[in-house]
Amino acid sequence: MSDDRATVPLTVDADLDVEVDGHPIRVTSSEDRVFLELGSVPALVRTFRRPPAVDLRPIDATLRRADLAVELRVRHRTVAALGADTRPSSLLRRAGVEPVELRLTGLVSAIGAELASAVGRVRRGIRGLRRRTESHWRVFD
Amino acid sequence: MAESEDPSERIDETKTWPELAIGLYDRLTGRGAEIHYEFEDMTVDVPSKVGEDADTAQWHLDGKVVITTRERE
Repeated sequence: MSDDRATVPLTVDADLDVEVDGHPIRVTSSEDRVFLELGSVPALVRTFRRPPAVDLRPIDATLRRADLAVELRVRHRTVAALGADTRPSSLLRRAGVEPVELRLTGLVSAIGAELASAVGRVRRGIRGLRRRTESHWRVFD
Repeated sequence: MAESEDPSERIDETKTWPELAIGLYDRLTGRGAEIHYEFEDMTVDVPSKVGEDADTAQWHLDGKVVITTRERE
């Protein structure tokens, strides 16, 4: 299977909106990379709370033969990858999920972006509440 | 799966989603073809495996995927 003669590189051009049980996943690509984009960390948790009962090893082997990789992204950060030029994570292997490469830096960065977004929403909410309270008191002045 | 197997036979024997993907890959690369998929608000119940006891997930697809062969660099 790893024989070069049996390997035919493929190019994927994807522009697809997918919903799995109501959870949206945006599918895009860049020649030899396919990106599965989730909008937030909670969306990642919801989507993969029950991981599909699929053996990923033959998919990984096929992707490598096709010189393709699939990257799972959250908030534009890659958190996991499968296929060509990826290195299976020993942490995930111990958890029985192989041969996926876990990108810890991307995961931490995505969680940071999620927290920053949540803080921003709270700040905007407080500012809006403050403005409404001030205008309310001006009515009574 | 041996390399000498006929890809069309392999698709007929498909039991799982990875096997289906591999069979499609073999058909594509074996014929030097190009595959165009276009989905217009398509909803499908996707079984987790073959068999009556399989769970299903509802997938909704809208958009396109084009797969072509590429020259090795």
